[in-house]
Amino acid sequence: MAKSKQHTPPSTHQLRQYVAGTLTPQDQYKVEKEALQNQQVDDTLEGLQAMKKAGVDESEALLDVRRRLQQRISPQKRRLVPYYYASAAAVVMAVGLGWWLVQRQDLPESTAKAAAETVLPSAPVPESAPILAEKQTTLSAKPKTQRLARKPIQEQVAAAPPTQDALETELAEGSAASIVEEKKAEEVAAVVPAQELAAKPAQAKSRVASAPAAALPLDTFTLRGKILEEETREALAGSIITVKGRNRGAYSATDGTFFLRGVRPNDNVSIGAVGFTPVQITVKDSVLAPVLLKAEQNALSEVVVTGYNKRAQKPKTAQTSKAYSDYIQGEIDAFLKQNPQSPRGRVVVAFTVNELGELRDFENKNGANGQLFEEAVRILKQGEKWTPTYKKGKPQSERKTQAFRF
Amino acid sequence: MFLKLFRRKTALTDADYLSEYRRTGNLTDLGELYERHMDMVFAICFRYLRDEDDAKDAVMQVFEQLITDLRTNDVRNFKSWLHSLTRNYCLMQLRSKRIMVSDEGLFDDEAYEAQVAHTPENNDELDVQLADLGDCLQTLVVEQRKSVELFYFQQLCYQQISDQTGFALTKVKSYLQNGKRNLKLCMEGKQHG
Repeated sequence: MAKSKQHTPPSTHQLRQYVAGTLTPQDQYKVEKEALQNQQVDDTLEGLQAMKKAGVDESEALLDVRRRLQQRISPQKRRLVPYYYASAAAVVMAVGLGWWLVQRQDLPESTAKAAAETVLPSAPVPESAPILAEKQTTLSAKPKTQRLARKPIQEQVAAAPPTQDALETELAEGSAASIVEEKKAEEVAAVVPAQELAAKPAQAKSRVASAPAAALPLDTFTLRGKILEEETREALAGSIITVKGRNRGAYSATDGTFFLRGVRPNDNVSIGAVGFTPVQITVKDSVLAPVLLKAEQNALSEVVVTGYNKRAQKPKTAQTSKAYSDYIQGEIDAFLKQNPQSPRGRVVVAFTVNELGELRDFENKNGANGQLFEEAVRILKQGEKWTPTYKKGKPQSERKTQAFRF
Repeated sequence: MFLKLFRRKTALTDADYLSEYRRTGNLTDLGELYERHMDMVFAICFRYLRDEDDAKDAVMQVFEQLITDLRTNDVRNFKSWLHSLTRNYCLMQLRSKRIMVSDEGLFDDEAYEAQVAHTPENNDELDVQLADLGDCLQTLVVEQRKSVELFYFQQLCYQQISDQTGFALTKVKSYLQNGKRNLKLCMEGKQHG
């Protein structure tokens, strides 16, 4: 009574039990009363009864509708994902291609520019320091500040190579007047950038000269040819052409033709296809005469295909939990209490959990006592709903076993 | 990963799915929600349409209607809302096809539909009133009176009533429904007059 007052309508599971006639009279009464009051329960119940009458297999029908629903939902998904990837790939390709082109075109200029840029900043330093010093002298008009201003120049010299360092220390040790010392230091500082300037362009020039040489190997050409089967003179598509000792290769097209870039004269080219004897050719000319491949005896029968299968994800169903094993144990105990004379023993039940999580095709695996088997099936059916196994996100029907110890 | 998915599925209520769907418009969310109630929808469709394939089509059509309706409507009790949506769809379907359902007197009785539409609200009231029906009970036909007495006062189920009285099992329900309606009319007449 409390149940109906709380207005928790009976679940569809309960209604199915009602239709199957497995409820006690009290429970039947509860369901009937709910149905009289609640149109929704009534409709569902009537529907289930009508299905039973018409001999409709409800779970079969539901499976079918479920598949249709999945189809209805999934097109949106399927269309979206490749579209995303395709556009992302296109953007990456475009950017990469553009970058590569720019890189290629600007190669000689950019290296020169980069060299000039590295030289330029170092040159103004000694110049800007005196300017700064002059400014400060005009502002403060004190001879002391001149000394302060010259300090950066001395530091510049200190940063110069050790030979100049030694020169400076020698000068410092000498008891010459500080003004002379400073003048010499200034000269030294002026020499250093000049040397740098002289060295850098030379380096830059050598770089400019070496870069194009690496990018455009002079004596390579593109090898063209056609590959035919010896007996029938038919074009052999998909044969592999590789240059020995270098990382270059190509496949022949459907008409047997191929072209292979970056081949040098006297390169050793190997031509092969699955099931054919490979051929070695030393290249002299950029065009090869048609290459004939001989079929290998028994070659095809030796091919071994190995398949790898990803295992389906094990469902972490409610049934693996302790609550479920407790439920089973409780049911077994209750059954033994009610039927003290019943036979004892172990029952192993195999069954199928279909995509809807329903249990079907029960089988008495160990040939246990029929009464115990029936009870075990009843416990399974009555228990919590199973979750089907998911493989690639889709539910699969799966065979399971469950052991019962009576 | 899987555990997370699993937990999400069990933890979400209908309302969670609804708000998620209204926010994102993601059909997968709606599909998951719909699958929970699909057996009910199918049963209801079968009840009215009496044909497996028609019922399957109806289930899909109701889903299409959900896609549009749920975007705009704020639904509080999804299950009962879904029920009335399904039912209305089926009734429309029947009317357009002009096929009569073999269920006795479902459509030729306007009062029945009217009464059925109001039942959820009137139930508690009716249960209370059942206690002091008195003479109204006497106005009922014998079969109706007996059924009502056994069901509401002695709380027997249809099978037991059928066993005791010899009424056909399917008749008991219609006796009860009609008896209930007549009682209600009688009570209302008393209140007004």
